[in-house]
Amino acid sequence: MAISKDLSRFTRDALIAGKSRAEITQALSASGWAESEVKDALNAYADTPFAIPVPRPQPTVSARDFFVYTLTFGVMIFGAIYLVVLCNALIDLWLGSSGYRPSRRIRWAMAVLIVATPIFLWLNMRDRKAIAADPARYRSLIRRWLTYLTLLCAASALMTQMIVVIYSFLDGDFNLQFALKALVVFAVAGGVFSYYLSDIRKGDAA
Amino acid sequence: MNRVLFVFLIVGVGAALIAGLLTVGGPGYARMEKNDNQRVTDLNRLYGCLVNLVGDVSVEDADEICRNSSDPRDLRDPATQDPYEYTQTPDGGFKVCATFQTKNFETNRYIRRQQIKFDGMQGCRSYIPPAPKS
Repeated sequence: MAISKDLSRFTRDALIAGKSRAEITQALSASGWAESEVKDALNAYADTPFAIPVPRPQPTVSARDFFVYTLTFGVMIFGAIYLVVLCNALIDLWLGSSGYRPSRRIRWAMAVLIVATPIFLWLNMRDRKAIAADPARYRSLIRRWLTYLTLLCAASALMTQMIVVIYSFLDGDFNLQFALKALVVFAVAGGVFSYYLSDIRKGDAA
Repeated sequence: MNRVLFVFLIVGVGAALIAGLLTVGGPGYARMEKNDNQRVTDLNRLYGCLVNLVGDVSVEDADEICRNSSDPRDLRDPATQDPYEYTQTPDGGFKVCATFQTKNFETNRYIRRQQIKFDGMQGCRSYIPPAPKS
């Protein structure tokens, strides 16, 4: 949660004045600040004996992070969507009864993947190396927001697909072709979700 | 965990790309598909032109006019640049034919919607004149 500037300044001044954390909590609570706000304000400073309050590491924002992470996550989401499109088109071609040959759709999806996959792999490996060298990069606010946004997209895709599967089952349309398509969505969205969830956990632990 | 997912991603994308390439063919096959679509368009244009002229001018003249009427491109096979096969039928009708390069006509929606009859790789659009009123 973002801490109010006034609250942060007050907490810092109170700590400098030698007030205990309990006293500060009591004063702030009596003034109407919520427990979570008081906790966040106090957690911004380390509980270590020193002449002045020692700030804890804070999330960082930079234009470079915006460029790198928006590109990485954008390419990943774009690639994941077209991986599903390609697999679905192939399933339609192999198992579909219409005899329709979606050649253009397949070629377009292949072109997207041929461009997006190496770019994503390169950006992601670069990020992994940078994080291994400097775990402070986990604190990038943009990285964190985009990770949660990706988790949201993956979770939405999984939930929607689950609804579609159940609906088609109830509606009598569930066949092998449909099951394979659903499996592709579950594999891709589930893979993305697991990957970034594990990344968030690593970041929290770092 | 992350490494396994990463390998899964690379293998999945690689397999999908290979399957896609094996299914739809490479650039050479795509060119052949485009040529076939062009043949369908050309046969329809030739047919449309010939059917309007066949009663007014001799069949040979009609053929000559139609082949050269569609500027900027003469109606010729896009791959070989040979004229399309044009045959008069004994009943006073005609058929224009092209030799196709792919079996795409079996699955392509656009081609299947056309009134072109296929015999092997050859596709023809035929005109049968209406029977004279008695």
